[in-house]
Amino acid sequence: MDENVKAEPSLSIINPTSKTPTAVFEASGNIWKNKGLIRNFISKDISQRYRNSIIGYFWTVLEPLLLSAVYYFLFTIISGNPEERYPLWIILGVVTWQFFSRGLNESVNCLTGNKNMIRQIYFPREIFAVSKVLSQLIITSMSLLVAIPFLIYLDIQLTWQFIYVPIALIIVTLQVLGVGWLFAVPNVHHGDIAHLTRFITRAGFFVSPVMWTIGMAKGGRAALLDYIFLNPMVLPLELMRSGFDGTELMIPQWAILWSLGFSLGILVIGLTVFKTTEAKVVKRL
Amino acid sequence: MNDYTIFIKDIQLSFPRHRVGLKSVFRWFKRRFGENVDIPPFVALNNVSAQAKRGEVLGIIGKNGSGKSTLLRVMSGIYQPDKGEAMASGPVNLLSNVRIGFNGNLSGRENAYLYGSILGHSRETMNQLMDSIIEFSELEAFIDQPLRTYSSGMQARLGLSVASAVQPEILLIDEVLAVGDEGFKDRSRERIKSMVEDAATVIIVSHNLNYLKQVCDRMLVMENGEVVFEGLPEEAINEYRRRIKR
Repeated sequence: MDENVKAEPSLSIINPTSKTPTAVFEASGNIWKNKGLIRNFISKDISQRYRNSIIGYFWTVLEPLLLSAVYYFLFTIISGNPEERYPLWIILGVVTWQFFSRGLNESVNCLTGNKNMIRQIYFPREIFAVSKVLSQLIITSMSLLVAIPFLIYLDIQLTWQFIYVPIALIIVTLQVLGVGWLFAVPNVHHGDIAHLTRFITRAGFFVSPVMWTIGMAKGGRAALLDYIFLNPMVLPLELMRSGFDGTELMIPQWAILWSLGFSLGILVIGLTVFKTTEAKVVKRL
Repeated sequence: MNDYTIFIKDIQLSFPRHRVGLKSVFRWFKRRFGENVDIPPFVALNNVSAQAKRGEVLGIIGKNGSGKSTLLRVMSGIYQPDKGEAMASGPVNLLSNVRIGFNGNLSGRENAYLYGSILGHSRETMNQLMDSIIEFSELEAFIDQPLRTYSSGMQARLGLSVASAVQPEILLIDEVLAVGDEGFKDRSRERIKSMVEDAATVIIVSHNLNYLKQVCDRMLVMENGEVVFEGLPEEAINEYRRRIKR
C-alpha cells in the first residue's frame, strides 16, 4: 500500500458515532429522513400481527375488554359495589398500561431483537424502537374505540378535555422510547435488563392507577399518596380518564410538572446514551 | 490524481471476548495491583488499508474467517473501527444476505417493498421498479402469495432482484452470486456484471476465483485479519493458492 495516500476533502467518515451534544438532533434528523422506512416497518408490524386469526383486528378491542372484565370481577369481590363509571376507568387504565408495557418491552429489545438485520445492513438503529413504539401507539388508538359503547351507556358527552387523550398518549410514547433507548445498550450486555423491565411493567401495574384511580385513593393515607405521584405514569393514566369523562384532573401541579419533565428528560438522556454507545455494542450482538 | 471513493487506512477492529459485568469491576481492581487478568480481544482486522477509486473493481479473497466480510461491514458502516480511518465519498450499499427483513406472513410483493425501503429506496422508486423486479425474479405467479410458501431459492431470487434493481454508486458484494438455479445464476451474474460496469466503485468478496479474474482490476488477499497481498488478479490468485497449499 502506498504510504503517502491522503484522505481527500470529498471523503467523509462512514457513519461516525454521534457526539453527546448533537446526538439528539442527529437522531431526529435520521428519523425524519427515514420516515418511509418507518412507515413500512409499522405496516408490516400491524398487518402481520393478526394475520392468522379469524377475528383479526377485533382482538385489539377484545383483549383489553376481556382483561378489564376480569379485573372488574376481581374488584367487585374485594370492595363491593364500585362506582358507576368504574368499568370505563378500568378499561382506559388497561389500554394505557398495555401501551406502556408492550412499548417498553419492544424498545428495550430494539437491538437484541434485530440482531440479524443490524449485522447485515446499516441504517440508523434508532428507527427500530421508533417504528415498534409507533405501531403500538396505533394499536392503542384502535383499542380506545372500546370506550365508545361505555360512553354511550354511561351517557357521557365528550368535552374539550378530550385533548388530554392525545397528550397522554404522547407522554407515554416519550417515556417508553426514552427508557427503552437507555436500557437497549445494557440489554445487549446482560440478561438482567430483561428481568428488570419485566419487574417494572409488573410491579408498576399495581402502583400505577390502572385498577384504581387517584380519586378512589384519596380516602387512604394521604402521606403515601404523595409518593404515588412520583410515578411518572400517574399523569398519563389520569389524563386519559379525565379526557374521556370530562372530570377534573386530581393531580397536584408539582406532580404534573415532574411527570412532563421526566418524560422529556428521559427521552433526551436515553437517546443520547443510545446514540453515543450503539456503535460499540454492535460488536457484541 | 486520486479520486478515491472508498478510503480505508490502518484500521483495527477487535471483538471483546469477556463480558462487562461485576467481574469487570474485580478485573479493574486486580489490574490496579499489577495483575494481568485481561483476556485479549479477538483482533478481526489488524492494520488493514484498502482504497478503491472511481470506476474500479476491487476483489477480496481469503480463507474463511480471514476478515473479508468484517472489512465489508466496516466499509458499509455496520462496524466502527477501533483505530484508523474509514471514509467514503457517498452512500455505500452492501449486498450480503439478500433476505434481510423478510417475513413469512407477508406476500412476496410486500416483502419486496419492505426490503426496498431497508435499502433506502422511496415508495415511488419502488412503485416504478416493481414490474421489472417481478419480471427479473420470474415469480409473477407467486408474487401475491405469502413468502412462507416460497422455496428458499425463490426467496433468494426475490431478494437479489430487489437488491440489484437500483444502480448504486458504491457497491459491496459479499458472496450473493450463488443463489437460485442455473438459469437464474447466469442472469444474476449478467446483471451484477452490468452493475459492475456502471457503478462508480465495486468491491467483491467471493470464492469464485474465475469470476473474480474476469471482473476485477485489482485484488487483495487477506489472512488472519491482515491484507497480505495486493496486486493484479492473476498474481493475487496465485498468491492465494500458494497460501492455501501451505
